[in-house]
Amino acid sequence: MKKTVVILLALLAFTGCSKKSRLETSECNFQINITQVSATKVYFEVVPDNVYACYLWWACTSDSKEYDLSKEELARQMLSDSKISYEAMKGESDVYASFADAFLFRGKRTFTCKSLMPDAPGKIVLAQVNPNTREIIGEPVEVRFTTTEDNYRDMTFRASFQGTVLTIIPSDPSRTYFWDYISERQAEDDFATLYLYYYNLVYMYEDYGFMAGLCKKGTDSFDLSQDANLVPGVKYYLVISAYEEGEISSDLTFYNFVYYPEGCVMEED
Amino acid sequence: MVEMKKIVFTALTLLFALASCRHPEIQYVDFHNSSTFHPYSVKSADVAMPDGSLNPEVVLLDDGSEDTKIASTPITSMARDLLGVINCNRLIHIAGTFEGHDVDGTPLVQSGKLLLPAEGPVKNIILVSHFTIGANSECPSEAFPLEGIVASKGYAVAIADYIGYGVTANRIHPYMHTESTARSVVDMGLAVLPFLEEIGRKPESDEIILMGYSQGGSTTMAVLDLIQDEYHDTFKVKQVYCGGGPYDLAATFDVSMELDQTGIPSAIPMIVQGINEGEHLGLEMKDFFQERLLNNYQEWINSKKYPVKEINKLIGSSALHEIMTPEGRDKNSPKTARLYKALLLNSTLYFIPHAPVYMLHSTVDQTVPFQNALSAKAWFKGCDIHYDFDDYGKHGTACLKFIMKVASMLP
Repeated sequence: MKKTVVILLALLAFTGCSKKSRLETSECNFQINITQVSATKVYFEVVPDNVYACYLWWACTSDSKEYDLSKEELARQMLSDSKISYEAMKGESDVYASFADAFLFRGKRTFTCKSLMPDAPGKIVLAQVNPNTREIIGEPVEVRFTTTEDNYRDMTFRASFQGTVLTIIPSDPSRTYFWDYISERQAEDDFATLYLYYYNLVYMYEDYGFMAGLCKKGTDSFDLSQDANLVPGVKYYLVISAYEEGEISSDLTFYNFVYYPEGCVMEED
Repeated sequence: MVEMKKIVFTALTLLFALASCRHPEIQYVDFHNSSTFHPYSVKSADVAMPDGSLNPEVVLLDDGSEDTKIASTPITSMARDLLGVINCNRLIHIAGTFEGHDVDGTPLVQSGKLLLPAEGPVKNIILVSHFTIGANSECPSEAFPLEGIVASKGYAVAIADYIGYGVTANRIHPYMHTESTARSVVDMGLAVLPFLEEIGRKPESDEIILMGYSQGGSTTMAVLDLIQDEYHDTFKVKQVYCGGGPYDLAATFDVSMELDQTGIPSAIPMIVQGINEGEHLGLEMKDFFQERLLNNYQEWINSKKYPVKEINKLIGSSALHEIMTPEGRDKNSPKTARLYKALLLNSTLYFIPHAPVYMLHSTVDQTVPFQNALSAKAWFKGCDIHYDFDDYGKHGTACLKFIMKVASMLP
């Protein structure tokens, strides 16, 4: 039995070593293909010529102080930030992921950078990193883009209940919007904040092609008694925002209500 | 009932006395304590057979693939490797009940299995979240669960039957509903704590370990989240081992929708029905299931007669358009949007793990796509996670690799 354990451990150690050595430490080529740009997002694909090459990327628009840095300076800064975060992480525990596992990307991947400034020049900088020495390899790659014009609107929404029927009236009936509700418990337990929940939901619906079918225009009504998931006496948040051209395009409007089968009750903040 | 408990207690005492000369001192068990685990069956079983092969009763994860090798290593050989890292071949299997919670939070008696090494001290409790099963005969309380093997290294392995299996087999399993499945695992842990003390097998350490693969991998992360939120004073988590998990449930489902293909046909109706049940969505299966599936899913899935491989054969197609209706696949349908929203709510990415995590995923896994592991890595950036991503074969074979690696890493 002991012999088997020794052989197995040796095999595992060998596997570990051989795997580590597979991560590329010599210079590779990277291609960055921008697939879509909206007012606050850029979608792009990274295609390395070696799937074991490790890399970091950063995207920003001209509002960011990083925008004025050269690609070399920006690469050094993002690597330095990652190293600081990694050391902080290591300090909290005696078991930790490798730097490459925790902070570097590998292989062909698609990315979306969100929260950019509308109608602004932007750039993506990618740097190959040696996973063992944690140093930059070769010259960073830079591609430029320009975000589209801001479609942010000063749009407001009025919501009310007649029994369990919810009615939403937008201030501008010609513009599209999206709304959703979630229980107070789910929003706080699963997502920490209502903003995080709403943005994640919208991003998921965007990613999987639902948004077009879910957006409304003009007055919208929905009978909440159709939702078997609602629990009487439980507090829910209603969140509404304008949504146009692939973007949340207004401030979020929040309402709190308590569901009862005989009629929902709006609550004050 | 009292008679039955006496019989079980006597059997338990005899088994421990027979199996372990070092631990003959079994204490009196108060089976009337409702907060503890209530055994109804005690058996012992060996992990390895006399010829060195894995006990054929061990339930392997069957994803329907014909994988017999990982790279050039045959699965049978891997099973033997697994046996090479264990300390104690004989395990005590204690099937029993505990007070759990239904999907709506009301009390519900559930079942599960506690596996203990027949001899030697118990180091820690390992709470296991089990992988996807179809037949009730495969559930932990009824069978020899694969994950239970790690008990051989000196651990108390507690594996709850999710709602819909064991003593609740007459109910719909809320498949991939994280809240109820994770709570079943934690409730079993809460019941097992006093029980181990009562039978004189209290672990040497108060720290617990979490472990699970596939459905169990995702559920394990949900268990960690639940413990961090509600039970951090009761359970200190030492280490988490998860593998092959659909952490990003919406993405996993959407891959099948977009490709019109699934690596595990039975999972599609199980997800739709399970999430509908767990989240009380009120969706009607006729809007989602094609006629043949609609006419038969109660028998194929909810009867719990058929293992996953059999259900896949009965469904007879891996093309989504032959499993789901056009309306169910229509992304302009508000019903489908509601299902996706529920899938988002049952993804296990939106929290910060405070315990060290080991995460394994095979890069060629087509049943639970590798994209799940990448999503997890992106979300958990900066967390204390050791990622182990490599070509470990298909989903089922990677499960064996996962168990072997965990068994090797456990001290």
